[in-house]
Amino acid sequence: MPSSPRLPTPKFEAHWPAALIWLCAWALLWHLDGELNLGNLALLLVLASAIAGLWLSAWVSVLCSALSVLMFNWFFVAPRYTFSVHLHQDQLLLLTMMGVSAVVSYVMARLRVLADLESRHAQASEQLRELGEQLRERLDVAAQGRYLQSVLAQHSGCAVSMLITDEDASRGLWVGESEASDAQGLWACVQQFGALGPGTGRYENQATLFLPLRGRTRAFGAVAFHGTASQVLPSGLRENLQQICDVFGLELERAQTLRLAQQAKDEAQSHRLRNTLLTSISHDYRTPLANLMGAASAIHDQASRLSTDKITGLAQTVLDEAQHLNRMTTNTLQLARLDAMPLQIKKDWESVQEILGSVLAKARQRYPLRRFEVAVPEGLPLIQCDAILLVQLFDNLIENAIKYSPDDTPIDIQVQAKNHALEVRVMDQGMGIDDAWKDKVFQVFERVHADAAQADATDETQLRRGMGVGLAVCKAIAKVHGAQIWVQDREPHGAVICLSFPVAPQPDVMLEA
Amino acid sequence: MALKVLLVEDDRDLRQTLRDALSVEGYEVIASGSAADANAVLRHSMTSDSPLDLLVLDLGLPDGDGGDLMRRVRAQYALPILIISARHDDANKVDLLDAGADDYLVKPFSISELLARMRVTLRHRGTVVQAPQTQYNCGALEIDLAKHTVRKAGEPVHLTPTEFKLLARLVRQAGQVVTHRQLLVDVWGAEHVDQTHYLRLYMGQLRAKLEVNPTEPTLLLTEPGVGYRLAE
Repeated sequence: MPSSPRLPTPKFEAHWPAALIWLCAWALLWHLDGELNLGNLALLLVLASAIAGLWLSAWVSVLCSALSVLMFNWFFVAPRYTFSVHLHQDQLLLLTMMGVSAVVSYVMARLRVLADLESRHAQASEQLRELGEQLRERLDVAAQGRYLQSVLAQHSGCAVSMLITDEDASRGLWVGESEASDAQGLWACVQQFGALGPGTGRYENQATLFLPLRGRTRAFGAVAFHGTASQVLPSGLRENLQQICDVFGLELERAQTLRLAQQAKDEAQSHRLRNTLLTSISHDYRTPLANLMGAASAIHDQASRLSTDKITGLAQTVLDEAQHLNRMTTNTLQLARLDAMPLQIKKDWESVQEILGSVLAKARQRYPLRRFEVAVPEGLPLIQCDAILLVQLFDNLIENAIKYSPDDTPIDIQVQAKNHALEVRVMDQGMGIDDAWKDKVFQVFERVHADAAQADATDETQLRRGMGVGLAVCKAIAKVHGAQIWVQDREPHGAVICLSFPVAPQPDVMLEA
Repeated sequence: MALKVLLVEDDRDLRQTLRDALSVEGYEVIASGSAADANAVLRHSMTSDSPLDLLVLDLGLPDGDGGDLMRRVRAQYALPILIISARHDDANKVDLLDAGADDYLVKPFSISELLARMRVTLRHRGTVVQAPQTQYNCGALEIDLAKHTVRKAGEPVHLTPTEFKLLARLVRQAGQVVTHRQLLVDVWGAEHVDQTHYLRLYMGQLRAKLEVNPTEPTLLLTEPGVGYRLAE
């Protein structure tokens, strides 16, 4: 914003072209004198007067024309070197000349005024645009308010205080010194959505001018200009100040709209999460619950008629389903927790080898007949992570690999240190994952072959239910560790889930020999 | 005479189930559903002729923090304490282990897991007054803390002083979890209590020397987020 409160005057316009025109015209007149008759020479003067009018103001132009007519009369009109005129011959000619030059000058002057106005407007709107940009650069409302306060104080030469209201216009943020009476005026100005004080037609007896910060729908605050009664605000200055206030009002409105949109987005997000949990419970919990119920009630109701083997089998079902439910619950809760507060995890230096080891020990216990082929090199770097989350991550990946591949195929687990990264791969020899599903598997409740599982509930597909949340949790856990997770194909068939953890500079430890 | 166990668990059904299961195994079980009740039982029983042998304590009690109860017991009696925690990432559990609880279990658990933990905890009963364990034999590994020797399949294994201290600390509580904090304080000193990376690296070295497959250890077990446990 330039510091001058008034718009600068348009630049000086040169008068020399007009003088040049007149000089040429007179030179031509002398030259043609005697060759052409008086009427034709006079037309030359009319032309000169019209063209010179382009550069001169109306009065100067008419004055020049009059002077020319007099000189013409003196030098060319017979009787020469007198001012006497043959009324019938020349008077009309002279009048025409004066009229034309006056009209041309007036029209030109009008045009200049309009152009001037336009450039003032353009400049003013450029200033306002710049003001808007400056406001947007300041991120918090208080800083914006302070900036606008300084701009307004500079423009008006008054002490300025400001009230910025919040969403429901109940509480306000104060900028600058304001007395109790100001506060009242500022609130009134916000509520009435219009200017108050001297020169506004409302509350004329006030010593302070109040202007609202207008948005499209309501005022987002108000500004008080102190001591405006003793000073007379130059014409147009109040409009200018109001325009500046409106820029801020619109900016506040824009910020509010953005905030509301973000809020709506957050709400939609939490809504989605709630739906996720509900879907999880209604969709994935019913089957294991039904199995539990069936097995437990069979033991309860028919124990006397069942063989010991049968009862042991039913009890095993109860155990398996309970474990399954436990895993799903843990996953679902973890997903909700990570979604709600992803930053509240406790990282420590951990060894991926150790964590994998403890996960593998449990997996071998659960699936004693399954083969696991594990390749972990020595001397891997430590990573910064939450061990319990990583246990859950690896556990889900291994469980997934087991569920989606035939029982007689091994699960391969490989760890490799790369440049500033640690890569973990969990590989199965199952059906693999179609390209179309490679990203979707990490979304909640997307499940490969889900339709097949429902249509044909054979033993094999039965095993595969309930991993809807599993990979989504893996992705969420990877994300809070800054790790990448993705799916690759395995030759000849099968899926590889790859994880890449960032490796920070290692802590110093003096190891003994 | 049967071993006497005080079981503090607020869920009535789980309390009943555990009580029955423990009774079948030959324990004499006193069950209690609140901290207040447990306090009364403790006061009465610990001064009687047949004091309690073990406290199994659930952390989420309705009338107070199980942790307060545990700290009081730890301060007054030499009674082994087994903690039952509802969540894996419950920081409270680690605090209580640091504060002297003997071991922990995370819900849901199987009866066999509970019995295994109870057996280990009972075996270490009285570590406060009796000499702690100084010999350890498991699989191919023989450790004698008094003689300062470690043998793997009969062959002596050379350990650095810190490695030996770390191993010795685990041997004294073989079968029980030892928290990161306890290990760091006892092996490196209180000023190193935050330097878990020491543990990771030295444990890695110990495993490389003592385990057949360091990635899938059978002796030096990891309890993620809590500490380490030497298998029995």
